[in-house]
Amino acid sequence: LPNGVTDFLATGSAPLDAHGRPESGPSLHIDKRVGIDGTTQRVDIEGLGKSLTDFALDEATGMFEAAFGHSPETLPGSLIDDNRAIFQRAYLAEIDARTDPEVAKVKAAEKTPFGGARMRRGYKHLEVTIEKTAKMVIGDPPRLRDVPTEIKVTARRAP
Amino acid sequence: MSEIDPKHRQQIERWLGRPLTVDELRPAESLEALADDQLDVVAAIRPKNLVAPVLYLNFLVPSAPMDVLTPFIDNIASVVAARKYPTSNRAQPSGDDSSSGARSTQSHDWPNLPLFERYAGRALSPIEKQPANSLEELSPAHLAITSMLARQERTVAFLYLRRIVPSAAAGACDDLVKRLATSSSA
Repeated sequence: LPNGVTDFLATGSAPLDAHGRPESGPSLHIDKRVGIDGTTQRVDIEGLGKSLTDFALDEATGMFEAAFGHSPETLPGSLIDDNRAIFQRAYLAEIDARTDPEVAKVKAAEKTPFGGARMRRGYKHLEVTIEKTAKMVIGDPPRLRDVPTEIKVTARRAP
Repeated sequence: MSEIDPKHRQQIERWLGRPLTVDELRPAESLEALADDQLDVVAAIRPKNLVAPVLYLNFLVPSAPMDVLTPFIDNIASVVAARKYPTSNRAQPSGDDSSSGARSTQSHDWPNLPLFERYAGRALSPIEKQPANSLEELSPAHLAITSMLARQERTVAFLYLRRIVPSAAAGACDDLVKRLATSSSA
């Protein structure tokens, strides 16, 4: 950073089985917020030529391939923060349009930055698991709805 | 005992705003075995940065898989609440159980609760609904949710603070909301 501080903008890992083989591809946490001189700022990285998400996915899959000799079969993760909010709105819109919930959750995941970044890399098949829902007032006009709050997505390469 | 990567530690401490203590750096067997003060660290830094709590918990509980770690960090306010107000004696201030997703039977005490939860994107945890005597006594969970609200809509954060600290002056609440909105804006 300009102030000489090193900040990690992304971190990720892939779980291994007892034999050291990957059980899935890498999952990532990415956050562009950094603290500079007492204020929080979102940074852009000059020279990348791509989004931080794409950069992190490139690095993670590259490291995965170097370690295991093949690209990951899946790119899993949980939707939180902005991704979750986008998913919630898209999911409820699909439900309101009488889309089957199983289809709605996939369509909603496809609309998130998480899903989009992985689909652009060829991981176009999204498996979505809604782990938890909560009753919340949401929408316009606002009303009490069952809203997914814990959402896991596994992006799988198209066969 | 292994040492935490100094750069990881610095990043955690920057977001925490103070050095980590020896106890806060003591590895645990599992996420459930984390000490209260370690949970408080996660609760304090989670609203400000997502990577820092992952680095912290990766060091404390290296065996915790990411698919467990992520919801744990995401729900840290509820984790802290469950630790401090176990179900067996949950005669807590707000009297409801948001962690189950159930609507409070006492929501008339919280006329703006749906508004707060709409902006939070989830149900508020019991600890987030616990009143405080002063702004200085706000817990990390209070500050975390206030920051989250302030980043989106300062008026909502202001209303939340006024509900949590009824005795606080409106001007003081407004100042705090502005500071949190600014410090957390991204």
